[in-house]
Amino acid sequence: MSASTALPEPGLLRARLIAILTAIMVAVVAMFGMATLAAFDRAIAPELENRTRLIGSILSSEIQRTLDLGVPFRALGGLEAYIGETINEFDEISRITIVQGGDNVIAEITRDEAPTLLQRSGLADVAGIRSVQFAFPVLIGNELVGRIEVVGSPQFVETRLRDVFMDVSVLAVVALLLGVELALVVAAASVWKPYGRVLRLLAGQMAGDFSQTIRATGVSGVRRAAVRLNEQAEDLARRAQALPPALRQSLGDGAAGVASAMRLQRMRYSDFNDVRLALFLFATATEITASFLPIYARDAARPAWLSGELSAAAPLGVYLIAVAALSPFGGALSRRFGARRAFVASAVPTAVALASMAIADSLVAVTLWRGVIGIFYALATIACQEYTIRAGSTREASQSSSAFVGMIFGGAFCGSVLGGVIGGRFGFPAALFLGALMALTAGGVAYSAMRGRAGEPAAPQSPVPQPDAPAVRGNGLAFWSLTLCVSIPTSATTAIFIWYLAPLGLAARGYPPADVARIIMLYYLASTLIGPLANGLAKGRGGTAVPVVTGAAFAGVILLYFRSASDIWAVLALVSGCGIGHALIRAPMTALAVELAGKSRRMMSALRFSERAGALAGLSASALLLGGSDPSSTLGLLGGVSLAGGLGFAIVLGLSRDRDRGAPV
Amino acid sequence: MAILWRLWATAAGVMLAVLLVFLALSTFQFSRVHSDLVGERLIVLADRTAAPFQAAVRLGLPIASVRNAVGILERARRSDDRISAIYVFDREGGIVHATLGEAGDGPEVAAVRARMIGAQEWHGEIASGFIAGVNIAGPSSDWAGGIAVLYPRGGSTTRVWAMAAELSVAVLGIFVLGALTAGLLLRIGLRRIISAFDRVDAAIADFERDTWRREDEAAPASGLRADLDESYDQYRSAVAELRHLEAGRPT
Repeated sequence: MSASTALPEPGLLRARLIAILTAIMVAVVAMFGMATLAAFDRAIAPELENRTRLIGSILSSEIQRTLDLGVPFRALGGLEAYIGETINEFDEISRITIVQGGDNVIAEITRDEAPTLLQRSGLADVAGIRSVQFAFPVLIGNELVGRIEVVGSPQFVETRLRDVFMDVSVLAVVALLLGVELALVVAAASVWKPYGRVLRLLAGQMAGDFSQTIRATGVSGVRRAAVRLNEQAEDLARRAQALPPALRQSLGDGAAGVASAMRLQRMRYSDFNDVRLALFLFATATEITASFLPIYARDAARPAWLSGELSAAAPLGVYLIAVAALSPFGGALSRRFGARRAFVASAVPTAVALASMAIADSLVAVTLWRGVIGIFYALATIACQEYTIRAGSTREASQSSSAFVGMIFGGAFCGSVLGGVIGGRFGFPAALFLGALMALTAGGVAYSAMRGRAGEPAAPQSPVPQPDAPAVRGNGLAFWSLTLCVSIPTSATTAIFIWYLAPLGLAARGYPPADVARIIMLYYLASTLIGPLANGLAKGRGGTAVPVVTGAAFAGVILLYFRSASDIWAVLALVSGCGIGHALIRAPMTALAVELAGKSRRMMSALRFSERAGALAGLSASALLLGGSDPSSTLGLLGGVSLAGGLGFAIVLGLSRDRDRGAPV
Repeated sequence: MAILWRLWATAAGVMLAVLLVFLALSTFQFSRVHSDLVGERLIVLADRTAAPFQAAVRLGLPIASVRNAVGILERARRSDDRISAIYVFDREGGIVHATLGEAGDGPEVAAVRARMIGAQEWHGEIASGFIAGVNIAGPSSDWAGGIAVLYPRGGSTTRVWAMAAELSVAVLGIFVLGALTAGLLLRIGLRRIISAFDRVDAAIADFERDTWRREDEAAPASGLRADLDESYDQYRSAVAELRHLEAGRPT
């Protein structure tokens, strides 16, 4: 096929869609925010007036009572202190002025406030929004001797709306990612997949093979081409079927085209994009607990001998054990039963487990169901991996690993945000039920999208295509160095800090679940945004090792530098810094591990197992040793290991490559 | 262009869904904020109303013994004529005084207060409206009684619906504006990609149009068009072979 009729890569469309949808979402959120502020201001004004009037009348009656005792207005001592206390007590008041006679101000306290967003943008005037103002008369007998002026605070509404704006902003990012995935599914279903089918059918017919037809779908031209090519095959089949039996039998040795038409069947075409939406939704569903699981587990009923720290870590630990236990068999199970069946069969028990977690009230039940989720998470993700490997060429399979990581992390990001927002507003069970619904939706999507041949069971002996074998032979020393020095510290940091210490620490500081979710999501957001940059770095001169070593060193430095800092900005820096560092590591690390392992599937399985085991060991040690003490030593240790591991791996890799260059060929 | 329409519909659909979620969240938040504001205002009022009763308790008198209690409560009610009722509770949680014409919500109010007995100030909701109150400290640091104010919900519900209606109009406007902008941006941003789709479409259309005359007139093709021609050639040669077979068979 010439360049003139080659379709652009999905990556280009994805990048453009992200840019366009980001611009639209930013504009939509900004417009909605302004509209909400204006509507809130107007809707809440009567109640603010009532409150301001009540406070003013209380103030007025207190002063009036003093004046009625015969104390002169000017002699009122401590007036400023009194109205200062009132202002501090009521956030909705921004100024109180006590005026004697016509315009003699004898006391005034103003709260120091920045102009509101509406005032700064000039929309307050356009929308006719002004601060509430009241004046209350001060009388001695029947004589008007002064007045009390009370001015409402325009900042009050914006402060009360802070939460909703934060939720709207993070949900906009979720919508952006979901929108991009949906748009890619639409584009794949409309063009890429139908066009891919047409090209494959066309290639067969050009070679004289008329044994297949395809589903005629997609945008008009592609669909018409499919219909046309189908008609050619069907016409030949009809003509061949009309031949007398003796002639039909003789076709076996004759014309290839006619003979192939006798075996007409529907092509079952598979494409990498088939798993996109299902995997994204599934990752969202399983990670819906990301921002609150330790808190949820700690608050569940537990045996008296079990500490809060161990309770909080128990579901995470069991989850990691479950994932590690199933990972070595996931591929075989998926090939035995088919990727589609394995995924759909995983979605249903995952939904049941999430719903059961929602109604569970004991730690044992929460931990058990999280373990069930771990088992089926491993099976579902491996099924998707098997599907993409079987659906694409070996080169595409290699390229898809970063997109695969991107989808899982995109889903994890959305899960952590949705879990936090829904959990914070409607309770954790509501978030878990939503997760169950999303898991079922993922199963439904997979059932209809993974219909291709790649979703069917594979013969036990049939080799699964591996990513292109590297030009260099496997490098065992560097592989194990990568596993021990980079892979294990990375997963241990994620499990210990992101999944365990950060949510617990933030909850202990009084942050509600929605705020915890907004902070944890930064880790996944960084992973989603930095992933493409890591791929770009991996294509540079230094190859895949450069982003891996850079990421490990970066995460290590961040952990060491901010380990003792106690303010919220340090936590933000830690979470997003780890996200950036780990994003630089993750996608290139798979490609680097494949390169270093050569063709050994066993070594890759060992890498996956070591990752889980390392994370589990770190998490257990952290939960056992921490006991509510300061986590800075744990963070420092993680930082030191990450930094030293990254540098150690770089040295080992350099030395082993030098040795390989010097070795006789 | 068909792909543009589909992507536009997807973007518009996502935008509409997001705006509806935002609308629901904002309305929910407004309802909560408004309910809190009413509750806090009623607490201020209850606190002020409690002062004479607090003074009596400090003197060691039981709260039920305040003789002009109904007058005090009625005066407090005058600060907002929408207040449904004000109640005074004794140490055991029983209602000892109430404003005139109380509609019989006392037991329900007492039940809410009993649930939040630990707090000095509290507010909540019952079927007939918002409720807020303060507890009056006794001489030995326990509660000697309390005051609760009941406020109808009607006005608040109307405001929540009015606010939702106003936001819905804004959402509609934002959606129309956003959808138009999305269409424009997609048209400009995906120009290269759409033209690639159009080229594929054109190649297929050319093939369909030229099939019947291609033997004599069609220009030499390349790319997808050439591949389609090649498949057609294969098809025709297979058809010819079948005809040949049919013609050669013994009759």
